[in-house]
Formats: sequence, C-alpha cells, structure tokens
Amino acid sequence: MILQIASTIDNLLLSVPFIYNNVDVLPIAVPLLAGALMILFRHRIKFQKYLNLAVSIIILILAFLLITKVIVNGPSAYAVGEFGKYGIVLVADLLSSSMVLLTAFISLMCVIYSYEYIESESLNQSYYALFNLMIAGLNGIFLTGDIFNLYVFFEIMFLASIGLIFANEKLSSTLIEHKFEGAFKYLVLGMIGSTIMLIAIITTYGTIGSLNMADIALKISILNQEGRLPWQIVAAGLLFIIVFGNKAALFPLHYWLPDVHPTAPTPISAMLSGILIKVGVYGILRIVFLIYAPASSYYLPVLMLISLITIVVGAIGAIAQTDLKRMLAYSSISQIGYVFLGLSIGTAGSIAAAFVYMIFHAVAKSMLFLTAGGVIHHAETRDMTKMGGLIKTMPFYSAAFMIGAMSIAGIPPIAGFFSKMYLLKTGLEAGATIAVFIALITAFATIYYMFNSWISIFWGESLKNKRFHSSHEMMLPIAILCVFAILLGILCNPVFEAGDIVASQIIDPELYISTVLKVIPR
Amino acid sequence: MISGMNFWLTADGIALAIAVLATLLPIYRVLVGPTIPDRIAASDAIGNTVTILFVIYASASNSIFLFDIAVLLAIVSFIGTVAMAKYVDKGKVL
Amino acid sequence: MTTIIAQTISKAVFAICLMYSVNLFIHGANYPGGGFIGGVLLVCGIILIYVTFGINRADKMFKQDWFGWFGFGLLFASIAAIFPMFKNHNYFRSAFNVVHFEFFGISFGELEFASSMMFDVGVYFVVIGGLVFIITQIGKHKYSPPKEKDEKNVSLDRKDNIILPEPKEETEITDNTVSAAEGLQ
Repeated sequence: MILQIASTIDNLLLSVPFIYNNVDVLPIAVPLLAGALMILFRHRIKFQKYLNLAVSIIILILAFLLITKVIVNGPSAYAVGEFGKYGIVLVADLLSSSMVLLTAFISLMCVIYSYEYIESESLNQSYYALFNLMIAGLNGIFLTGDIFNLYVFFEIMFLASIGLIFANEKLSSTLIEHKFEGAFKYLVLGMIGSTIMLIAIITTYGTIGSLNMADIALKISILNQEGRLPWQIVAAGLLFIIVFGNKAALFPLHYWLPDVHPTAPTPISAMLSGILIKVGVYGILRIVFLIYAPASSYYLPVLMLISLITIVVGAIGAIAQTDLKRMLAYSSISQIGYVFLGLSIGTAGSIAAAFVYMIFHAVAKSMLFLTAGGVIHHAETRDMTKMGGLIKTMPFYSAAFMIGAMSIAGIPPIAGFFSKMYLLKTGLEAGATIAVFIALITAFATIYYMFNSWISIFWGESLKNKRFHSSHEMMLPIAILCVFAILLGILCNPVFEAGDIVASQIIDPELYISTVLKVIPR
Repeated sequence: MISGMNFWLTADGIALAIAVLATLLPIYRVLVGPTIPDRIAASDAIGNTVTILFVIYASASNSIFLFDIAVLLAIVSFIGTVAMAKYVDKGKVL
Repeated sequence: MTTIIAQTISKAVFAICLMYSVNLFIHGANYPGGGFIGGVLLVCGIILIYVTFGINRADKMFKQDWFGWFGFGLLFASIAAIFPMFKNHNYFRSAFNVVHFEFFGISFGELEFASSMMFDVGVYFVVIGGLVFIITQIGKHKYSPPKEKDEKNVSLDRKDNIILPEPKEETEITDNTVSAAEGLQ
C-alpha cells in the first residue's frame, strides 16, 4: 500500500520537472538560502518567525518527496556542477533520505518550540540563521557521496551548533560560565576531531586517488580481492571511526556530552540529542560497511566492546544524576550504545534493528528534552531533588514525560519496546549471547532511572501551587511527538520493512556503487 | 632557473645570499632584544627582507606569481607593525 | 601610532589594498587568487583604518553593517548556485564566456567571465563581512577582570550548578550574557 501511495506521489511530482530533477539537492539549497535571508532580516522578528516556519515546512515536504522518489525508483545520484563522478556527487539511498526526513521532522518541532522558549534577544540576533545553516549542514552530511564534501558539511554543522549553544532561554537556569565550559569542550574536541578527519581523508586520497565514496569502495574491494590491501587504509578507517565516535559519544570520548547537551537551550538540546549524535552513527555505517568494507572485520569486534562499555557507563551515569537534563544526556549515551551494539553485530537483521532503534530514540529523546524544558521553566531549577508534586500543576507534561520514559525504557505499547526487542532478538539469532545479556541487564537500569526521575519530578510533596500555563507553541510539538511515539509503536511494521531494505542496501552496497558510477558529466 | 653551484655566482644568487643574511640578523634582535620596541622594529625588518627574498626569487625563477605574494606580504607586515606599535603606545589595538 | 601621519598613510594603504584585492579577485578564476584571498586583503585595509582611527571614528567613517555584508554575500552565493536550476541544469553548474574589450579601436585585452564568478563575489562579501564583524566585536568587548567569587552563590562543586544567583547579582550576569552572546553569535 505504501508503495502505491509513493508511486502516485511520484507520478504527480513528474509533472513538476524542476522539483523532480533537483529534489536531491533542494534540502541543502533551501536552508542555505533561508539562512542568508534570515541574516538580512534579523531585526524583523515577526517576519523571520513566519519565514522560518515556512522554510521548515518546505524542507519537510521536500524530504518527503525525496523519500518517495527513492522508494519508487531506488537510489538516485545527483552530480553537483555536472562534473560526473569526478565532482561532488549527492547520493540519496533509503538510509540517507530517511535520515533527511527525520532531521526535517524533528527540526520543525524544535523551531515551533523555540518561538516561545528562546529569549527575543537571541532570536533577533542570529538564532534562526544558525539554525538553518545547521539544517543545511546536516542534510549535506546525510546526502553527500564525497568524503571531502562530508568534511565541509561536517564543519558547517559543527560551527553552527556551537553558535546555537550560546542562545539564551527566557528563564535561564544555566550559568553563563557553565555554558562557556561546555561549549569550550565541544569546540576543542570537535576541532581535534575535524583535524583527524582531514588526516584520514588525505591518507585515503593519497593511497587510492579518489574522493568519491563509491569509487573508493570499488577500488578498495578490488585491491582486497587481489590480496594487497594497503595498511594505511585500515588506519584511515580507524581514524574516521574515532571522529564519528567522538560525535556519537562512544565510550572513551563520551565525557563532553553531559556538559554540552544540558547547557544548550532546550530546543537545541533536543536537536543535539535527537539528530546530531546520529550523524556519528550514519558516518560509521558508511565507513564500516561501504567505504572500508573489506577491513570491517577489524573494526566490528572493537566497536562491539566499546558499545557495551558505552551502554553500561551511560546507564550508571544516568542513575547517579540528580540534574534532569544531565540525566537525559547520560541516557542518550547509553541508548547510542544500543544502536552501536546492533551495528557491530553486523548481520542484516541487527543493522535493521539499529536503524529502527535510531529513529525511535530520536523521536522519544527529543520529546523528552522538550518536555524537560517546560518542566524546568515551571520549577525554575534543573535539580530533580528540588522538584516534586508537579503532576497537579502540569498534567500534560507529566503524561508526555511518561510516554517518553516508557519509550526509552522499552515498555510494550510504545515505540521503544519494539526496537529494543527486535535488537535483542536479532542479537541472539546472530549468536552474540553475552552482549545481549549485558544489554538486557542494562535495560532494567534504564527502566529504573527513567521512572525514578519521573517519580521524583511529578510525585511527592507539591511545592508549587500555581498551575503552569504553557503556550500552545510549546505544547504542540510535544503533542505531535507523543502521537508519533505511540503510532510508531502500534504501526511499526512499515518502519521495520524500511529497516530491512536499508540493511540489505548497507550490507550489499553494489546498488549504491553502480548508481554513483553511472553518473556522467554533461 | 639555473641549478647547481653556478646559481650562486649569478646576480640573483648573490642578491639572494645577501638577503638571507639580512633576514637572519634581525632574528637575533627579536630573540634577545631588551625592550618590546626593539622586537617590533626587528620583526618589521624581517617582514621587509622576506618581501625582498620573494622578489629576488621571482626574478630568479621567472615567475610573476611570486610578485603577488611579495605585495601581499608587504601590506600585511605593514599592518602588523602598525598594530603592534599602537599596542605598545596605547595598550590596546582597536 | 594614532598620529596624523599614520592616519594619512593608512588611507593611502587602504586604497592600495582595495585596488589590489579587486585585482586578485578578478584574476582568481584561472590563477592564484579568488574571492577568499581578495576579501582577506581588503579586510587588512579596513582593519588598518580601524587601528589607526580608533573603533568609534572608523565606525562613523564606514557606516556599514558588517554582519549584513555577511548575509548579503551568503545570499549572493546561494542564488548564484541555485540559478542554473531554472535553466534546466544542475546546482552549481557554471557557464563561461570570453569577453574582448575594445574601446575606440584600442584593444584592452580579453577577460574570461564565468558565471561561477558570481559565487566568488558572494565569498568575497562573506569574508569581508565575517572577518570585520568578528574583529570589531572583539574590539568593542570590554574585558572586566573576574570579581572575587562569593562562596555563598557560586560554588565550584559540579552538583550545585543549578543554583540560581541572587537577584542582586542577576543584572550583572545578564549583562555578561548579552555581551557574550553578541561577541560569539
């Protein structure tokens, strides 16, 4: 049925050749243009607000059209500047187009939320412009098929997100010193990561002589078949894993995340925890299974060990925290460990499970952060031990937090349960019994810390008697994300089918490579 | 460009050797210089001599692109000297 | 160094910088140079004026919204990239034409005009706007040495980072935030 709807939309889109031909690049081009307009109109706050809303909706529609095109016609490649495979190629397969759709959806929610939440001093400075540049960078990362271009978009996204961390909330409970501390850690680690990434790109280019991902993958697999794989290639892949692992907060590089994500304003925390750490997962999927695929037998056992440590460390950190947003940040670390567990088992089923886990976690965690923003506004503190009894004054937020907590902890009717069960099931089928056992034990810790925080926030002695009147602009995104978290749980079949297709495309990148190499200069 | 030992006997080679020597002497003043103005003057001298090095090298290698670098270096070293001098004089740059 | 001699010379140097940056920009299509280098050179000239005249007088002399230049450049670059899509070509597709200059029978040589030069114009403005904006914001920022920390309000213990400051100090802290936000955003 989904295929029928998709083909109908695709046929309709054929009548608009401008959009149909360029739908691969428009998710990058539109936010770049919008970012420039936002800077020029930065003092006209009302106009900026409606323009940004329109742009976000347009990007969502474009991402939707892109994924329908990909579902109907398979992966598509787009040569920027028409230089063929020697220039920059944008490749949209099902993985990247669904990541673009996820980005567009979550960012629309965060944009609606931030009208009411961010103070106007920051809004009329450069908040919207940086937000749009960040979206452009994210879409570029997901769509590009060229490793140097990946580096460029990575930098755009990274620098824009640093600027966004400094945006102020209306009722800020974060000291500016802590903001500086967190942003400084993020900046320094990110810069070191970028330098390492540049070294890896130079190594690969110097050895293989190409920057196109598909071309590199083909050449490396040929070298591997001839039995003379250069040792630098394995090292370059490891450097890439360090960079993306730093972004995704894998174990030895996870310590920056609990400082950065809580100090950012809430919509940006939701973007950081929802989308930006998934950039690391996406990058490692491409690195391990596409570009350096012959060397993946070196990487996967290391990744599995690291992911198990990440799961445990994140869960222990989350149990120990009394700060609401820090607890959520530690929970993000733990959950990203689950995604990497599925990725590192390496069978088609477990990669599909990791993909689905990633999407469900993005929806649930961004909703939890947005809810936490409302709670912090009302309680005027981030300390959970000083909250209590808020269920009387903010019933909507308590329900939303409950649904998010159930999704993260994996309680049946909500989306998170199905992804977690599927992940553990495929792990058992692949024979990784000990890993699944550790993950299962930590899942109980997840249940403990999520519900313990819910109880300490919403139950107990009531400190505030005044009812919290939040605006509709703050409640609407939370409500939409709640509905999605429940609906994805009930109707999870299409997502799992999409996950299976994604996993088969990742395991066997023949289609991807042939699509890219078919592009010719004109 | 003439290679080997013969190069140092041409006019370009002799000029280049003198310019290199003139670049090395102010480095001593930068490292030792008892006061900050000494160091600023010495670094300005280094900027000028490096500009001259580029011009001589451009003449020796018959390349016009090195002139671009020489002009750029002259402008930038002038601005650097002005900024450092203002810092010594007023205690702030802007 | 803010004598009248320095000010007069810096005006002359600014003119040289402007001329030379335009030169670098124009022959940047096929030779070393281009929008970025040209922009940086012009920024050198502008910053020289800022240094010799002081930030207030120089701001009055230029009367420019440098952040707006940044936005304008970004707009120009992205429009130059989008435009080929209306002509049924891909994003960033470039076309070029060689123009022969001849006035009154005298040949002035020929120049190669590529449509990607419009993108370079955008880069030029982005570099000028961005760099001058950052440097002037750093110059305007008044550095105040950190005061003696009150042990009651600000504790170095990480668990206490949620304590709100006393209302008396809040004004100071918001002042600090605003200036920091201006400087860093």
